[in-house]
Amino acid sequence: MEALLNEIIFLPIIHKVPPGRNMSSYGSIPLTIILMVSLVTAFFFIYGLIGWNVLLSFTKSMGLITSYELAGSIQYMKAGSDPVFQISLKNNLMLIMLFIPGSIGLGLLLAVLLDIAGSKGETLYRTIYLLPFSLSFVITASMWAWMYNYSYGVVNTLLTALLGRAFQINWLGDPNIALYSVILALIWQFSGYTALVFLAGIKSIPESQINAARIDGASAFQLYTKIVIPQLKPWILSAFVVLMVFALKAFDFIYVLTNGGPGVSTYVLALLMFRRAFFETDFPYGAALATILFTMVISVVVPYLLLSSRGREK
Amino acid sequence: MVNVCIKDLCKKFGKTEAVKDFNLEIKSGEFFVLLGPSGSGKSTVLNCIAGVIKPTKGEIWIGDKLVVSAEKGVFIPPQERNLGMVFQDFALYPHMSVFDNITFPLKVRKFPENEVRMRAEQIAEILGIKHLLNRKPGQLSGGEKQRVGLARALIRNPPLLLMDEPLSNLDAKLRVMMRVELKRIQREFKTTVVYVTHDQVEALSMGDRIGIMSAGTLQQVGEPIEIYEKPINTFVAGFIGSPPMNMFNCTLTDLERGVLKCDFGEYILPKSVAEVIFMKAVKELILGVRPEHVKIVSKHMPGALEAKFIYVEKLGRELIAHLKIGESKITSIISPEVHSSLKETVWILFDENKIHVFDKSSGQTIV
Repeated sequence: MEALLNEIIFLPIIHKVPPGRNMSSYGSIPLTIILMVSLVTAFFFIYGLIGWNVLLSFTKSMGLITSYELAGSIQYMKAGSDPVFQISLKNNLMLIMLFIPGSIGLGLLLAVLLDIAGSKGETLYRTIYLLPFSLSFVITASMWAWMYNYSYGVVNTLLTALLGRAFQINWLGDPNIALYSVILALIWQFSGYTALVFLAGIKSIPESQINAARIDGASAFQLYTKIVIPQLKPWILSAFVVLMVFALKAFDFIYVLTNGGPGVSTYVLALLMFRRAFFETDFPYGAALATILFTMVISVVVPYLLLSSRGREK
Repeated sequence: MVNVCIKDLCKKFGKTEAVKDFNLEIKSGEFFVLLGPSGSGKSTVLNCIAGVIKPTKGEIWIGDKLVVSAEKGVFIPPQERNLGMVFQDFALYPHMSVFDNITFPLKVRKFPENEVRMRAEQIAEILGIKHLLNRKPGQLSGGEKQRVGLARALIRNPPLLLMDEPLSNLDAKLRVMMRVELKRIQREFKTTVVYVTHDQVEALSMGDRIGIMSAGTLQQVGEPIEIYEKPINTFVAGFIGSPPMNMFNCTLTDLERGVLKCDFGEYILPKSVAEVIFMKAVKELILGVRPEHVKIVSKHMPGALEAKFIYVEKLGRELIAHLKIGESKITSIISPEVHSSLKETVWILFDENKIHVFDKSSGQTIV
């Protein structure tokens, strides 16, 4: 899935084979061997194992004992009656509903501000905003864990200094708040990335169009709402898919920041899958959860890929 | 209709001076063409009038309104300048239909719905794009896009219309058609037009007056015929006219008789020209003669120079003959009939009333 994610992140770059290059000039036999080896490896480790995982979820396997006798959808029934599965699913949906619009909205705002600021210090701003995204989730999550710390964290220290003791919030300790704290931190992590995607989109609009709109009488606000942002649609869609895939498969950040807690209040499907498979050694159930997740991601990615490849053919 | 007055305009981009000491008065109702090679600063001047670029120095008046003055700190944004602009790449908004494109200037100004519709239909009728109103720009041809761009610029009936190389992206046939069309539209809308182009044919055929720019400065302003016949310096002389004027480096050897020693040999100036040069006492000169004023004859005549054909471009109605005289090359426009009667070696004569003489050091015209 990581590879898929990378593919989507860099999707706006269209690779073109230079014309007139004949592949056979590199020597076709060694090339075929290299391609075959990588193809077979890729197929085995990606699609082979996905297939094996799906198969496992439908078998009579128990715990670590693998059996290939089919058992129907027992494992999937299990998910239906697992209360933590419902909480996890709900939390994934919360991520989709809050984290995605949050990241896109904040990213748009930042991109517009960066565009208005112009070329002055552009590289500096760009570095500053992209930095969070380039850091490992484990590092940023640990950092947020310190910042959110009830007694010593910088967030509560600031709140106390500004508003007084009464306004201290138990960011990660309160089951009703913890999920929102996670979402807030994730928006911070991703909005720099979305801002840069959108900024690239803004820069791809010809300057004459912007000038035309100004001469036509558009105010700065109308210029962005009527001319610039509507043209960012393909960029927003591409960012949306990246964020969607992340919202579904979110794991490392949450694992480090809350580890699903307090209680199970910040559990997500990927975390549940990991717990059930590796802590409770219920591999078939873990495989079923993985299959559910896989189906969800595929149902987002495949339509997007179809849509964008159709757009490219036009 | 308004007039435009530009005073001491300067624009620097970093260290490069795109425009310097630019002074120009564009009359009300005029079709004014700014002509120059790419990088001469003509678009910068236009963008300063539009207000999308702020000048480094100088001021611009549109009518009796001061729209920008670097010294007085005045800057009226493009939104409030009441003008229309047409762009080389058409600059249509790709996500909007043609109708939404051309009514954009009205919608942002919150015109009532029925007036927007009425005006859109009116302008679409005039420009012949009524059947395209529901399409998106991506579905239009170059010529159609140009008309939509024009409709958008004209829908508010602005007193001033700016055009930045509007025909450069069209194919040759369409360009000729649109030249006539643009003139018609200008007359119909009674608007002042400032038109930027690098194409001298466009400038000569459309402009009421032309301003020629080179390296950020205005070289000459005048009516097309004036610029063609009386170029002020070697740049204008060489830039206007196709094929360009023949120019030869010369030294005045006999002041009284007006004998020039040129690369191709001796040339005796006509008396009236020699007198002017005698007064100026300049020795290093450039002799210029347009191809249509180079006459080719088959026999030697007094004052004629021997020449050889190198190559003949056959353009149908006329021919462009490339000849060699001495060590220099010269072009001449001749008719196909004349050409068929000629051998390889010919004699050429310059039309004495049409020769140009420039001061070599300054490039300025003497005669």
